[in-house]
Amino acid sequence: MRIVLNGKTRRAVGGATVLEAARDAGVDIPAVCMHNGVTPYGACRLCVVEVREKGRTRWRVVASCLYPVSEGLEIRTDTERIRRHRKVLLELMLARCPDVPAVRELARRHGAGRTRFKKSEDDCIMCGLCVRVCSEVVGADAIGFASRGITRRVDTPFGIDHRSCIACGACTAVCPTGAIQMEYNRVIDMRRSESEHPCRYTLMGILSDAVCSLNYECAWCEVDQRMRERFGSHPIFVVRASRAKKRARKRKN
Amino acid sequence: MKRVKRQTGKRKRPAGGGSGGAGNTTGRTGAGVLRRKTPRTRQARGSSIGRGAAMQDIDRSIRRRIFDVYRAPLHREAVEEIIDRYEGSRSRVIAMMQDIQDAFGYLPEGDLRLLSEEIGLPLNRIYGIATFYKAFRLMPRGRHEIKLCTGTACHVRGAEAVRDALTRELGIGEGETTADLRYSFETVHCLGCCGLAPVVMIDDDIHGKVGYSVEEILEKYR
Repeated sequence: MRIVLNGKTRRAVGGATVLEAARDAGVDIPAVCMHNGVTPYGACRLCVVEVREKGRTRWRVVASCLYPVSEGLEIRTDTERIRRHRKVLLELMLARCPDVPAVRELARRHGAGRTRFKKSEDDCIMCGLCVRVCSEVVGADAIGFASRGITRRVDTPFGIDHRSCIACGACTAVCPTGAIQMEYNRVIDMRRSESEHPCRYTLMGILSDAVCSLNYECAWCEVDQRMRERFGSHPIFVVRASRAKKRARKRKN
Repeated sequence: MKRVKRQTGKRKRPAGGGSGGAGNTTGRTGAGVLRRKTPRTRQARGSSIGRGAAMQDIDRSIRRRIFDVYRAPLHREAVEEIIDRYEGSRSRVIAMMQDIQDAFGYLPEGDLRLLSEEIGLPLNRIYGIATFYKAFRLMPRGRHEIKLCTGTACHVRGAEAVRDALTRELGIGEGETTADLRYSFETVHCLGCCGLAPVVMIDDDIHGKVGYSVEEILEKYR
C-alpha cells in the first residue's frame, strides 16, 4: 500500500494506523496516550495530522493513532494548522497539570511554555494508559474511569479498596505523569496480612512466603510473563529503579 | 443518623449467612494499594455546614468500617431475576441497571457486585457506567425530593440565594441526600411555571415565590 507522507511516497502495511506508518518511515509524531503494549485510545489528541483520502480535496484533521492508512492517502504531519492544534492542546494539558515536569517539557518543546487557561492542580492527564494496562495486559480490571466531563477521574469501583488489584504496579509504570503511584506501606501491610489476594508482586523479590492469588507456580506465572513481554522488565523494578535514581540525585545535592 | 445505623443492621444479615464470614477477616487490611496523589477537591466542597450531614460522608465512613457487610448483595433474588430477563447478556447491562434502580430507587453496591459476577463484566466498567449517566444513583434517595428550578426566570429572581439557603438548611449539596434519609436535593432546569419564580418543587407540590426562609416549607415534609 502506498501513502504520501509529507510529500514523499512511502510504503505502508495495510491495516496499520497512520501513526505506525509514519513512525516506520522515520517521521516522529508526538503522542502521550500511546503505548505499544495496549490498544490505541485517542485520548491525548497530540498525534493529530492532516489527511486527504484519494480523490478528495479537503484536508481533514484526524488522530493518527486511530486512523487507518488507505491506498493513496496523503498525510501532512507538521503544518501550521497542526502546530496550532498541538499548541492549544498542550496549553490545556499544561493548565490541568502545571506541576508535572513531563507535561511542562513537552509543552515547552511545542512552543506552549505558558498557558492562557486557568491553572488547576491535577497530575492526571486522563490518557487512560493505566486503565488500559490494567484490563488488557494485567487482566485485573481494578481501575477504570468514573464520572464524566470535568469530574472524570481514574478510580477504583466505589472509590474504595478494590480486591481486583493485585498490586502489580503496571499502572504506575505506564503513567506518563506520575499521577498514580504505589503506596509502599500498604504493599508491605498486604504482605504481612493473610488476605485473600496476597500477590507475589507485593513481595518485591522476597518470594518465600508468597501465596499466589491465581495459584500459579512462580515460574509459570502468566501475569509475570505478560509483564516481561510488554515492558521488558517487571514494572515494580522499573519503578524502583527510577526511585533509586531520584534518591541518588537528592543525596548528591 | 439512627436510621442509617438501622439500615446497616439489616444489611448485616444476608452477609452473615453467605460470603460475609470468610470476608470479614480480610476486610480491614484491604487489597487495593492504589491511590491518587492529588486529593479530590469534590469532597472538600461537600463538607456539612448546617444541621444535617450528607449521606455520602456517613456512607463512606460506614463502608470503611464494615467493608464486607456492605458488599454483600442486598436483593439477590430480585437481581438474579432481572439478569434472567435480559438473558445475562453483557451488552444489555444498562437495561439491567435501569431495572435495578427502578426496583430499589438506587443502585446498591452489593447488587452491582452481584451483577458484575453474574454477567462477567468487570466491576470497574459497571461503576463507570453508573457514574457516567446522571440517571443512575449510587445513594438511596430521601423520602422527599426537593427540586430547585434554575431556569432563566428563576435564576433572575434569585434561585442562587435559594440554593444557598437550602444548602445551609439541609447541610447537603446538589444531588445529595441527608443522612436521616429525609430529603434529597437536586436542581432542575425549568419547571414550567416561571410566573412563580423562584420555584422549588418538593415531591409533587410547587412552591412559588420562595423567600429566604425555606425552613417553613421544609418543616411540612417529614
